[in-house]
Amino acid sequence: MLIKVLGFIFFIHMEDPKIQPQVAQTTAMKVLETHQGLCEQEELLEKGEESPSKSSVSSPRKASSIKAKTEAMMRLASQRGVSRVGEQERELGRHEKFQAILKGPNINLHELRELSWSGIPTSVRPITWKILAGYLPPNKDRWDTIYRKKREEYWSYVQQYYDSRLEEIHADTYRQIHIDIPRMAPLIPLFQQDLVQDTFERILFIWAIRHPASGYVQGINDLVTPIFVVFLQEFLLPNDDIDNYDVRKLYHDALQQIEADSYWCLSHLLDGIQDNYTFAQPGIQNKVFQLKELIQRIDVSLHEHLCQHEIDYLQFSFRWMNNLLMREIPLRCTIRLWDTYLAEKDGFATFHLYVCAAFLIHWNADLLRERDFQGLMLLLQNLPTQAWTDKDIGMLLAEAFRLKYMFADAPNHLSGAR
Amino acid sequence: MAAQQNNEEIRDSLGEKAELDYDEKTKAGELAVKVICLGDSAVGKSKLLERFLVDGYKPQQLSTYALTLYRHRMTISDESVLVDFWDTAGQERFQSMHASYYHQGHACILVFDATRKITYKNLTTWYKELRHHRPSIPCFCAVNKIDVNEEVTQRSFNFPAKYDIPIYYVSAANGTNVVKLFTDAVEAAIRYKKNPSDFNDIILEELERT
Repeated sequence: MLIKVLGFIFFIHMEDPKIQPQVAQTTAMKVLETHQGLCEQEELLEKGEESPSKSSVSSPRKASSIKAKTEAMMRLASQRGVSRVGEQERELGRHEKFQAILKGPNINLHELRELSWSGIPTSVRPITWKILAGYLPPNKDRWDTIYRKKREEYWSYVQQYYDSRLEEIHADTYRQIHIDIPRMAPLIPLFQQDLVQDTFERILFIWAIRHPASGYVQGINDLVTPIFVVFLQEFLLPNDDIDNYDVRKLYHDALQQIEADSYWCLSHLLDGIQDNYTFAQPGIQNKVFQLKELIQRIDVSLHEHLCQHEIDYLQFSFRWMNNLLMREIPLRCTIRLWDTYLAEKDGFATFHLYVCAAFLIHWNADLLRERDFQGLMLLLQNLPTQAWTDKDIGMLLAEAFRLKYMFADAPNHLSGAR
Repeated sequence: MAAQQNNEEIRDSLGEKAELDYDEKTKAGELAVKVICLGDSAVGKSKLLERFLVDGYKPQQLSTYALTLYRHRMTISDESVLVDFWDTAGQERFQSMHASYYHQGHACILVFDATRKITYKNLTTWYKELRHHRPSIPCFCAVNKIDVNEEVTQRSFNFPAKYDIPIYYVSAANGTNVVKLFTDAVEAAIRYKKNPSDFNDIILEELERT
C-alpha cells in the first residue's frame, strides 16, 4: 500500500524540487485520500471479531461494549466532543481492522505499523502504543509475564532509588523535576492532582538517575503527558471527562500499572532521541541545522524572508525539537502525531525533522506577511493551532512523508542546495 | 565526528545570522532596545515580565523553553521606544542557546529567588557568562518573591555589592518594585545604546562585524 503512495508522490514531484505550497497541500490531500481509500477498501474485505483481545492484566472493564467504549473514547480523543457520525463510523471500522491484527497469538508488526501510520482508534491506542514502542512483544502469550516482570522491576527501582532524591547528589535533579511538574499544564485539573504529580515525579526521577548521560532536561516532562493520558483513558468510563478526572476513583493498583507502563514506554521513546538531551544537546543542534538546510531547499522565499529579518532557526525551532512540537499544538494533536511517530521507523528523531519542516512551511503565507523580526518571532512562538484537529495533523504528516521521501535517502539532493 | 563538525557550522552560522538590527533605529524611526532576563529555572523571570507587561499575575506559570520574546512599546522622556524583552530558559542544559540570548543585548536583569539560596549562588555564573558576551551593558539584580520571604529585604547581598550592580527587592505576586525595575532597566538600555560607554565593547562589536 505504501509503495503505491510513494510512487504517486514520486511521479508528481520528480522534476521540480522547489514545490509551491499550494501544490504541496493538494498533494498532501491526495496522499491522505489515497491512503484512506486503500484502508477503507481493505476494511470492506474483512470483518473483525467483536471481542476485546486485550490481556487480562490490562483490560479493566471488559463488561462495557466495544461500541460504547469507542464512542466514549472518541469524545475523549477530541476532548471537546466534536465528532460527527461519519467519523464515528469510520473509527469503528478502523477499530475492527485493528482488532483483526491484534487478535492473533502473534501480531504482525509490519501490518500494525502500516495501519497505525494513519492514526490509531482511541479504543486500541493504549495496547498499540505499548507494542509499537517496543514495550510489549508481538507474541501475546508473553504479555502477562512481561507486564508482571516490568511492573515489578519499575517499582523495585522506585523502592531502591526514590529516597535518594533528597540526597545531595540528586538534589538538583529532583528539585528541577519538582518545580517543573506543576508548571506543565497548569490549566488542566488532571495534572494538578497530587497523586498525578507524584506519579510524574517518580517516573522522571527514576528515568533521570538511570540515564546519567543526559539526566533530567526540561521538556522531557512534557513527553510523559501523552503516554500517561493514553494509558489512563483505558481505565475511564464512557462519560468521564479526562481533563477533570479524579484519579482517586481508579482501582488501587490501576494507577501503579499506568505509572510503570508509562515509565517503560517513555524509556523506549527517549532511547531514540537521547542525543537531544545530552551535553550541549547535539541532537537538537543537528536537527535545527538540517531544518534550515531543508527549508532553504524546499521554500527559498520563506528561507530568505527569515534570513532577511535575521531570524535564527535556533531561536524558534529549538523548542520544536526539545519538546517535540508539544508546545506548538494541542495535546490531542500530539497524541495523533505520535501514532505516526510510533509507526514510523525512527519517528521521534528523523521523521520529526520532516514534520517540523512541513509545519514551518504550513505557515508560509502568514510568515511572509510579517515585516520585521519581532513580528516574525511573535508569530513563530504563538502559531495559531488551537483549533487543529486530527485532519490538520494528517495533512502535516502527508507533507512530511513527501519531504522525507524526497530528501531522507538522497543526501546529495539536500547538499546540492548549498 | 560528523556531528561535531555540524555543531561548529551551526555556531558559525549563528554568529552571522543572529545579528539583529538593534543597533539601528527601526523604520518608523523608533529606538529599539533588547533587555535580557537571566537566572535559574523557576525564579520567576516570566512572572515578572508578565506582571510588568500586562499588569496581571497568574499564579500558575508554564515553564519557558529556549526563549520567549515579548515586544513592548514605551515612552521614555517623551521618546517612543520599542523594547524587546528576552525571557530565557534557566536550566543549565540549555547553554547552546545562550549565545543568541546575549547577542546585541542592551541591558540585563539577573533574577534570583528569595526563597532558594542556590539561585543566589548561581548568579555569579550567570554574571560571568554575561560579561563574557557583553562586557559592559548595564546590569540589574532582582530578588524576587519577597512576598514569601519578607526578611530578605533587610538583608544586604555581597554579589551585587561586589560588582556594583543595583539591587531591587521585587514581587511578581504583588507587584512590588516591578515597574521600577523594568523602567530603570529600559532607561539604562537606551543610555547604553546611545552611548556605549565601554570602549572594549565597541571594539568587540567591530570585530564581530568584520
